[in-house]
Amino acid sequence: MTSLIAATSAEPTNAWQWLTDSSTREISHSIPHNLWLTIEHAGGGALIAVAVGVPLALVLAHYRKAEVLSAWIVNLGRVIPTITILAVFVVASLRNGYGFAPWPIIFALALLALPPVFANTYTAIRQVPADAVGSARAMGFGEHQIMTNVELPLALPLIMAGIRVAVTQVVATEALGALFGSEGLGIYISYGLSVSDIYQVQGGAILVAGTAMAADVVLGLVARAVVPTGMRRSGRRALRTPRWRALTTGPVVHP
Amino acid sequence: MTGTTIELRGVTKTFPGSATPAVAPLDLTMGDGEITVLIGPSGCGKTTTLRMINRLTNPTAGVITIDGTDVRERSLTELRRGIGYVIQQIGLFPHRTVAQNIATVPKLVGWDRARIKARVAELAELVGIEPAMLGRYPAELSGGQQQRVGVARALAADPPVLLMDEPFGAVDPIVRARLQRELLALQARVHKTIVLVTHDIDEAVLLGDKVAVLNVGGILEQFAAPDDLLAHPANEFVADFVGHERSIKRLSLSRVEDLDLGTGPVVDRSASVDEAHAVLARTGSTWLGLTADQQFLGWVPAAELAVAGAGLDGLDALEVRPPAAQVHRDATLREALELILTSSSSTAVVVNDDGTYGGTVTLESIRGGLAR
Repeated sequence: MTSLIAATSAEPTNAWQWLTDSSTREISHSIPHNLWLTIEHAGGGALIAVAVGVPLALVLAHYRKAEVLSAWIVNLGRVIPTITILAVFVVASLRNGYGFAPWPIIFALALLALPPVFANTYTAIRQVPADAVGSARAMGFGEHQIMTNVELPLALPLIMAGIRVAVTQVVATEALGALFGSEGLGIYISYGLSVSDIYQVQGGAILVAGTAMAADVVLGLVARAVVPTGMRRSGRRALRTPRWRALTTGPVVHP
Repeated sequence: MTGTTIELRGVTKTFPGSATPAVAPLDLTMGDGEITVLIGPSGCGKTTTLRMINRLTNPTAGVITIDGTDVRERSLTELRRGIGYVIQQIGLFPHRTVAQNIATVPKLVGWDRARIKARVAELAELVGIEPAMLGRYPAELSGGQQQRVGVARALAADPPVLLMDEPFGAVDPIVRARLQRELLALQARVHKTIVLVTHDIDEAVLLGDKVAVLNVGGILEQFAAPDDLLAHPANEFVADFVGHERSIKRLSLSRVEDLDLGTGPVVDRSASVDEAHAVLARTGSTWLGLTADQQFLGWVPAAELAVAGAGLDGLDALEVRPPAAQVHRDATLREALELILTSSSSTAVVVNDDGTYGGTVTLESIRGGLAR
């Protein structure tokens, strides 16, 4: 294992200096290295959550099989503190000889991301217009075809919103992994705390928040790319009256 | 040509947890190439009956056959791909363009792209969708345009049967009237076996070749042609349901050519004055109509003929008033009545296809026609 402490370092005088001048940082690994690890952990966790949560919610919602369960899952996600999940996974992993990272972190984050992904997908599928599904069935779509060709594309805007929430949460929470000996952007916060280096803590916090926001922006672009054109609020023509106009002009008089 | 007939034999539907059936044992034959309308108050099982034909709902008992084949013998998807389905909410796919929506079933059954493209263009023309609209999304269309797309989509793979569940219920009356006319014009070209559910008796009478009036619980009260239904309601329920203006409604159903068209107080211009007096005396009319070469020229007041008296050489010398009220043979009685009410001679002149004089229509002849 490489030493985490660089041989020489100058004390930073503010968070900005800490961020921009690598000679003031005490931890040997570079910001890009830790950023990559954060992306790896958070991305891995989110991917697992999406790979499990979306198909599961799609099928259950299509057959209306988890009306109570879907509400439970959301609440369960809120009730159990993430740090506990992380601790349980890391301890279990250590006991079985797998080490600190990355899988305990990834699985814990996947578990954290699952509720919003599942709940949003479930709700989104339930809100697909019944007449579109009904007419698909009447035209001879199989149930599987209804799910993939009608419900999934129509639910995509809401599903993407759920994924964005989950990813932002997961990136922010990934920092906790550093408490359990993992690397990643959180390491600056936990190490900064241990040596009472306020600028390092601030710098680490800025990095974590910045990464979370950047991830949200990127997913916003992804959502734009994958949501079907006809579903977008602003296509080639505005498909609906903008909300602000509906609010400000009073009763709308139709010609 | 053996067409597609839909037969219901003892079809019953009792929903789980309900003591009384939604559809009582029902026997009904929907004729090939005809529009059969199912009508009745809410709870009469008309939509349930429709949905049992393409097995969106399964009957509790009884048999439904299309072309003699039990619908249960075919796979669900195969059966439904062969039956067009139009609903009030239309149910277009918002994430697909108009063209993609229309192409839904052809794509499902695996047509190649060129054939689909040609078919979409053909249907757009058939139902009156401008080609420029094909690339748009449903949310960009008006309600009437959306329903046209819905009909085009239902017809896409050329199914012999079309099921329509209150297809025009969600559009305003003006658009509805236009869509109804378009459906009739369309049907004249495609000759589908159409089953249409509605709660609007005027729509039923206008569109239906046969109308089935259902009572609550799916009891068939009467199954007859619209004119029959209005002229001879089987019982009080049907009479009540078709409403108080049955005769007025019938006026829209019957055509001028169905009446006994009298020749009326009309003579040829070359006829003698005596003949003219004789016709006026026989008909008791205050107006005399003149024709030449089978064409109707116009009217002369009987009083002028009397004033001219014996000094008149021929009818040619009289001043002829051009006819105000002329109807074509295939006009409805409603249109003829409108003209009669505004005509000073209380008579509408009937014109044949080739423009020749075809007789007259009066209040009397319309009343006689309705009494039959």
